[in-house]
Amino acid sequence: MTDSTGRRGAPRSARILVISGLAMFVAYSLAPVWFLVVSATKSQDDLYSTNGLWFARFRLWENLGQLFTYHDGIFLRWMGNSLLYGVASTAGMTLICLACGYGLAMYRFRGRGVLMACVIGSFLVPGALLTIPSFLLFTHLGLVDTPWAVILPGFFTPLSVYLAKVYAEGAIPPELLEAARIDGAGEYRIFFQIGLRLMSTGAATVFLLGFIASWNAFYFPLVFLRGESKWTVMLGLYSWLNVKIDQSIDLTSLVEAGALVSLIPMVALMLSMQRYWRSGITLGSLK
Amino acid sequence: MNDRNRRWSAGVVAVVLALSMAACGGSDASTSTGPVEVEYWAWSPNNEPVVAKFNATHPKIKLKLVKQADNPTTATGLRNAVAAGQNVPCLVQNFGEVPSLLAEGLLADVTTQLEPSVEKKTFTETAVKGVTVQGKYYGVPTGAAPTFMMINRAVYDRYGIAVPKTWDDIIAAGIKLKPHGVQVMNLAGEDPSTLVSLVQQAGGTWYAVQSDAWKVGFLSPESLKAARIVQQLVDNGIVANQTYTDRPALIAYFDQGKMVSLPTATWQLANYETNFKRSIGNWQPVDLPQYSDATTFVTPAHGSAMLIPKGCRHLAEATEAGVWINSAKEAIDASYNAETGAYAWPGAIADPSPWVESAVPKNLFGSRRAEAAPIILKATKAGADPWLVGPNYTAVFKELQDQWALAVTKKITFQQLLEHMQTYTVADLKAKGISVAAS
Amino acid sequence: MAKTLVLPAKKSPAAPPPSVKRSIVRRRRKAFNGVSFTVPYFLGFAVFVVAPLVIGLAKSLYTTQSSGLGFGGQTVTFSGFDNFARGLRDGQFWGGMWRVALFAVVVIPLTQIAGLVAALLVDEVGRRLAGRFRVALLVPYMIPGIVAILIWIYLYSPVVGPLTPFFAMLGVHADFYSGSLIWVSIGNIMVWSSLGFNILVVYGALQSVPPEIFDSARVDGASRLRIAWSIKVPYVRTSLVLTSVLGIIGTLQIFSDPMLFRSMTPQTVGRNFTPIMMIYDQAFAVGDLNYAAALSIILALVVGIISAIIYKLTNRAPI
Repeated sequence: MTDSTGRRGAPRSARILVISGLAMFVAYSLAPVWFLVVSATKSQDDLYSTNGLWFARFRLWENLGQLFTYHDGIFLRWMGNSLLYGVASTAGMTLICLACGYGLAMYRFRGRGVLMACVIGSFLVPGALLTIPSFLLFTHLGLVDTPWAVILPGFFTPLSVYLAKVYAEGAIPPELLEAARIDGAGEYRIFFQIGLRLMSTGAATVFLLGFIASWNAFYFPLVFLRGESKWTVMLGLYSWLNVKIDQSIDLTSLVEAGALVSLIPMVALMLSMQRYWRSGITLGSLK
Repeated sequence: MNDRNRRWSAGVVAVVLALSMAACGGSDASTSTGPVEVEYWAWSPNNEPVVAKFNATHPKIKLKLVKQADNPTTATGLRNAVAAGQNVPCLVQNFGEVPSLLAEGLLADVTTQLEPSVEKKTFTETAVKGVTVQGKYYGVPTGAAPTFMMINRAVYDRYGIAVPKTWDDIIAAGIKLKPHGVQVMNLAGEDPSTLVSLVQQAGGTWYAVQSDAWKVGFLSPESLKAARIVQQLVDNGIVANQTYTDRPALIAYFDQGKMVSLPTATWQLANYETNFKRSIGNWQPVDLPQYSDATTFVTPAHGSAMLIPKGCRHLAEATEAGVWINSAKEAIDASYNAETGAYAWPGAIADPSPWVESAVPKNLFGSRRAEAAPIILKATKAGADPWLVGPNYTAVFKELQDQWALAVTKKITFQQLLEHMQTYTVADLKAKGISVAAS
Repeated sequence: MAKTLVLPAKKSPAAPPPSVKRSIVRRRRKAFNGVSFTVPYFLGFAVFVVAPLVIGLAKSLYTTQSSGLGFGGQTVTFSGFDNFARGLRDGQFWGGMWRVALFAVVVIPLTQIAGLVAALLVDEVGRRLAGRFRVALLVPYMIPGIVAILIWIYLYSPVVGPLTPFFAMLGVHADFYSGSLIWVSIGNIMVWSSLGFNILVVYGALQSVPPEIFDSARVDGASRLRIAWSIKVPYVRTSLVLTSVLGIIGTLQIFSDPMLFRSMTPQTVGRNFTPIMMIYDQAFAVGDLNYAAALSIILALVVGIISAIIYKLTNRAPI
């Protein structure tokens, strides 16, 4: 694509302009993270009293050591929980939302407009309205204090359905489906063998955005998971961060080290997904 | 056909909805054998050894600790659990004022269960007040941490200022310190507790009950007296409004000698010990300043409670466990925290002296470390609780926060603050259908 | 409504329906299958969104009252639309709404322009490089909110942070916690954390611009800037509308950033500073869940109407 779109072979000056423009955006995005990196290397007693943008005594390894051993290594457990909830919820979400988006994009049926309106409309529902009713409902369903309370609601993400629908419209030529039908393939087989494959780029985006959302999810784990052995990494870090408000210990340096470690799975996922984004038609196809 | 499809899918939705609504029921299988399980919610660290000790010494009750993320989370969790009426915990670390929580319908009446301990004088009278509403008990007393003051003695000495004994001394000290770029106190814009403590210290209260109706007293003499002190602190420009949230700035500001006196309590000391660098050893523990016309030495000691929520099915066992945690010697001994070297402060019992020494950190007070224990014990003895809180205090406190922020930044006067709070509180009570006495 | 396959709407004209010879049964089957793809989602939707929503809606029609000293339990009475009437007249609530709406009018276009420019720039470099930039630019989006707050508290801090001295060097006195700069501070955090997401979506759309268009444009001698402006930008309009609407929804429901600044500058950020803050306050401090529910619905309607207007104006309705 690069070659054919003429994105290369630009005059040198234009190229320098583009790169320096991008460098500014990257600096804006990453410079604040520098503070996090520096903080993660500091011990608690240096954290507040030394320059936040430069290293003091280098205690990164000690912090990591403490992070992984504090409270019998509860942080590793939180990472494990986050991974489990994140992968389970995002995998289920991707399949369900892709199927839904595909159905909405490739078929016409009565009520389709209404369903689409439901999807768009549910962007608008303020979470505040749903908190207590959701809790009552989850109690009746026996979901409270089980991982399902965090995994199941994640399956039904309106934004993912919307994106999936748009991707399906852009990526799947209807003639191909028609041809498959003439060959006698069933609708479900067409979806699994042709639809999903053609949508793989969009699926990668839906999965990535879903995973980030689930990894950083805060409210549902907070409300529905009781007891720290079930917590996610975000909830755990939150509780460590707030312990200083009314207790005599301050774990902020552990929080900063933990936050840095908790970025690793997301960055790794993103890098491993690069190749899905390479195929010709990329996410979007939003015209 | 399409219609049929639509009807079909509508039907499925309806069924699922119905199922989800109806799939409730008494699935709580209560076991009749074995120890009674009491679920205990707390967010503060280091409760595990206390719970283990309890379980080792009480074969008939099994205390199950469920760690909570923090204070607001616990509040949300409990509200939800009580609303759902299922899996309600039996003991909860305190997150609010008992009367407000009771008005919300969150607390169980444990008068009969707590009565024996009250009669045995297990807890101080002040502590018991903290769980009492209209003569009944709602929760187990946890008392209050004693308040005293710490001053940066090095800076006081540098400018030849005597240790302040009264609030007027504080104001005078502030005026002398101001030319040197030093502020005498910090009044964080989000935290009106200085005003509240001053009203308590003056023996005042903002709520009182008068023949089955609330009498709201923001404009009482005690309240106005407290307001005059903070007004002078603000008007003379001798205090800062450094927020607690910007912790690096707060610590830098304390540590660099720019702010030299702060009312404090035992649980905060370990934090200062860790985070102070330059000023460590320069601090001195002193008695909480008094009103100039005070006849007796008083510290505010409004007690709080370990909550026993409505819907808990083992009130007796919960009360027993709560009483043990907050009063038994072995419970307090078990609460030792190796990280801070301190025990949980036994605020509800008459004599906390065995645990005072450990509450004082090693270096913060330097050579004056020995002065701390007597000052803490003196503050404990002088603790008084004239404070009564009404059913809408949660909302009132929020409004007070807003008003306080305006007052400490000189947008309004404290007199105006109190007048506003009077009007607001009365209107809010009336809007909720609660009786208010004419004042 | 046609009962056959939907053909990707906008571009290609709807293909002629399958020949009439094809049996009606077959068409029915396809339509049925089409619905069935959406069933799992909408079943879950019914349980996890609609059901709580209905319960929430119901709450807004009741009023809870105490009596006596307020300890004797509460009575719940049906009050129809009283809560809504009260909400519509509530100056505090609409004050917050206006405040946030004004903010949105400034910050959303800024976010969109920044995202668009960055995406266009990423689109200009080779694919390998683009991949790296994309990861780097998405990092702020991956940073969890609580940690982002920790970072910005430090950077903004007038006492220890680097920004205040930096601006002082330029001769500008900047106190990011002060009442006058608070929206700038909040807006910057919003732009910073949502930029990566917008770039991801817009860059994705750019990738699908058919290459032939560029070739013909270059033959015509169009400059790169001109190609970007008159070919690429129109191509990603739908994406921009999507990110804008998501931005509007996010902004009008803004909660955690102002909450942070409430402790920094409480004299400016009161308890009812934004609509969602007021809703939380009503629900959890005042304890009036009924009124909070009514306010949530009013807020949702306002956001919905604004989004609908934007879709109408831009002619990019998603349905």
